[in-house]
This record gives sequence, structure tokens and C-alpha cells, in this order.
Amino acid sequence: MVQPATWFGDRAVLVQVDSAAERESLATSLTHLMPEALIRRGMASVLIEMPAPDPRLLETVEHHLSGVDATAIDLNVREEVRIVVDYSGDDLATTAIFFDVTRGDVIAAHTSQTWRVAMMGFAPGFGYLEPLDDPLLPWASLPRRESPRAQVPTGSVALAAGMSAVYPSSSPGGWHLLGTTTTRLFDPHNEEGPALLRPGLTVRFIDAADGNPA
Amino acid sequence: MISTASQVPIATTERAGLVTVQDLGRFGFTDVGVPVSGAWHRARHRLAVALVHGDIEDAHPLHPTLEILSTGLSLTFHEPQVFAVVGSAEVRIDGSDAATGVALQIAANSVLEIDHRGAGPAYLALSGWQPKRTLRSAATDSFSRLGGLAGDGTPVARGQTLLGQPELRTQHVGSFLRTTEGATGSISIITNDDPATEPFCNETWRVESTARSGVRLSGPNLPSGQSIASMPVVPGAIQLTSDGTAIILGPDGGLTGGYPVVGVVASAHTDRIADLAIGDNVHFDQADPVSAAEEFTAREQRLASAIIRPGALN
Repeated sequence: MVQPATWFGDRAVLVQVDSAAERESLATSLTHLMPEALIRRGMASVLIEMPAPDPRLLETVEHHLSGVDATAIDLNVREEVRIVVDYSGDDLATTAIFFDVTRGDVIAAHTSQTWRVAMMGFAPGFGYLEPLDDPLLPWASLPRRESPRAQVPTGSVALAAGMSAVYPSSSPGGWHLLGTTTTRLFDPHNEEGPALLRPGLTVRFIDAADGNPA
Repeated sequence: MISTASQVPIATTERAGLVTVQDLGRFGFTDVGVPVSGAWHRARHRLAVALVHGDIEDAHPLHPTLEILSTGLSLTFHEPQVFAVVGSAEVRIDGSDAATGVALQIAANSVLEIDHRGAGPAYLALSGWQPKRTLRSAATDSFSRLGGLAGDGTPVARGQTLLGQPELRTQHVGSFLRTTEGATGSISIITNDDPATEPFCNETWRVESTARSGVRLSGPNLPSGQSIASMPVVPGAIQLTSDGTAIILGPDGGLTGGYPVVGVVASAHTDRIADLAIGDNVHFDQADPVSAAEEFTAREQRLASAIIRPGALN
């Protein structure tokens, strides 16, 4: 159930949603209905931003909300990005111990899962990936590391709080590192498409050890 | 519109405090995690650009300035330029005092010294400077490590060269600012029916630290601040953290946040955040979106008529 929209400053409106499916249908619809606006996703919210203050924005968004039909959007038709991973991360062993399974089980669960880019932020090109189908392991029970690392290397494939992510550049980070990828997530010199990921895309991880991934 | 075909060195930095390259920002990439960034005090940046390049409506959003946050900046010029400094600063050309808020000429081999004074950023615009752009903007975002002279978000350093054109738009020389904005009062925020709103606006807050990523305020411990599901945020959003600190996000403050937002600063008042200094007391009051939009429009009209052209005095 979509909650009432609320002002977020004088040029933006925030809509809280109850499910990922609602978030996706709302963000997709509003992107088409309000081409002049910037639509950004949160984990459980959608922000509609205008270039300048607009006293009628709340009214406009409410009008569109009443017309959004979540069932009208086929969320299954999505571009899929495949990311090949060398599963030799520093936290793979402790993650396996946490779930009381083998390392191979963690890798199998991570690669069998379809992920979706729920939102982007934290760093350019950083996508918060949520499980799109029922996970083989209860990812959400694994919290962030107690002490974040000061430096997580570029390309680290990580897991925390029910989500997965790839670090597009080296940065501090508190997620559990399962492995690394050589796939480039962010290229500041590519103006047409600097980021590999976009909100709403689905992502599959491929184990580099599984023969020739290409 | 800016050609990079025949760039020449126009100036070299002899001294640089906390100085960054800015323009109005990096638009079009927020959905993939790239903040807009750009000038912190947008009106002052736009006025500096408009003094040198033309009217504020005509000023290209990608015309750059150097944003001076502390200490100062010295440049040796290799080519003649028209320049303007807007903000709280002392300016000297070859050791002689020069004015702020006016478009002036500087000759090759002259030295321009700018000493930052008081609170808030000061801006230097140059007529022929064409910094390289990262994702369509030269804006320095130290948080996302984009833009600036080196392209990696680092501030201006000593011994760096500004590239561009030997350009004298003499038709603008002598243009000056009619007024500057007066002392800032309370800061208007747009809120929702949050239990923290009323105590937040009733209290006095003290500035603990200030940076382009955000301004930290200490005040009463409000009953809020548990982390929430990550949500989109904007510059001017005020987060209440778990230790009772309030953070007003700045242009490099990132796009997502995990703390509750008590309110968002009205667009007409976001520049005031850039002028806050450590130790300042801050009061907030609530504005509704309609009056906030009216105040924004009125301020835009004031800015559009803020510049006097030499020809207009006849």
C-alpha cells in the first residue's frame, strides 16, 4: 500500500512504500509520467525532485499516485547484468561459519540468486542489490561487520543486512567480502553511461571457477 | 560551447588554502550515485560568473569559479583576463588593494592575491578559464572523488596551471554588484508532522563543524535518531543522528542517508548554510512550500537585478 506523499523540502516529494515491487512500479511509472522530474529510489521510498521549487508538486504526485497500477508494469522484463567473481574474499570463511555451511554453499547461494538494483548511492556506481527471489541462505540475518574496514579494494563483492554489492572504487566499508571482480562498475570518463548498474536492473553473479565464464 | 582546441596556460597557483574548482554541478547522474556537488553558496558563484560573462540568466551553468573556503589564493597570470571576486575577501593586484564585487582586468605577469576573511565561501571567476570536466562538470566533489583540476576530487594545490583562452571581454569590465545580501536570520525549513519538528525549531543549535559534506550542529537530545531504511537525501536535508547531533547535508553530502530527516532547508535559504561558522548559534523556523517557493522567486528576481553594467549608468 503506497503511503501518502509528503514534502521533502520545497522542490521534492517523498513517497514511502511497503514493498520492493511497489517501489519499482511507482518509480517506473513516475519516470514516464513526470519526465521533468528526477526520480530516485530509497530502500522503502521514492523521491521525486524538481529543478526548482514547485508549490503544486505534492498535488501533481498525488494525482499520479492515484493512477498508478502496480500490476500494469511487467517487472520480469529486465535487463540482466552478469558479474564474474573470484570467490576468494577475506570474509568468505567467516560468512560460511555464520550460516553454518561450507564456502561452496555460500558461493552456490550467492550465484544461484537473482539480485536487483534496489537503489544507488554511497559512492558513484554503487548499487544496493536486493534478492529478487527466495534466497538459499537467510542473507538478512547477517549483520554488517562490527568494525568497518578503512579500505575495501575496488571490485570487492560484498554482503550485509540482506543485500549484496560491488564496491566500484576503494573506500571504507563494513560489508562482508566474498570475493572480487575485474568488471568495471564505474567509469567517470564515460559520459553516456558511467555506471554498469542502474536502479531496477537485475544482476547475476558467476563463479570464475566455473570453467570459461565468457 | 567551450572549445578546448587551443588552450594556453592563463595562470599558475602560487598559494592555495582550501580552494576547489566549482560550477553549478554535475547534473544527470544522481540516479547512478553521482551527487550534483557544485558551488556551495550558489548565488555568490552565479554573481561572480555573471560579472565576468554577462547577465545572471545568460551565465552558462558550467562556467567555473574557484571556491575559496579558507586562507586564500595567489595566482600569477600568463595571459590577460577579466576577473571578479564575490564574497568576504581582501584582494590585491601586484600588492595594491583591489575591490570585490566588480569585474576588473588583470594583465599578463601580474599577481592576484585573495585573502579569505570572515565566514562563508568567496568566489573567483575568470573570463577565459576552461577547466577540464569529469562527467560534464568541473565541480570538485571530494566525497565522490570527481572533478577539480586533477579530475579526482582533490582541491587546488600550489603550482597548478589553469588552462584556457587569453580573453578580455572588456564590455563587462566595471560591472559591479548593486547590493550584497544582508545578515542572515533564522533558517526556514520545510517539515512534516514529525514529533521532533517542534522541539527542533524551538531550540538553539550550535555549529560544531562545517564542511562541504555537511554542517554539524549540537543541541538538545531529541527523541529521534534511530537508523532507518536507507533513503534518498538532498543538500539541505537535516538528519538527526543517534548521538543527538544534527547534520545539515551540503553539496558533497551524498545521495542516500540512514538517519531520520527532521526537515529540509528552504531553497531560498540553502546558501545561508554555507556561511555558518563554528560556534555560531542557529535557529530554525517552519515554512510551508508555497511561501518558500515565493521567497525563492523573489530572491531570484533580486539576483537578476543585482548587477549594474557600466553602460546602464548613462
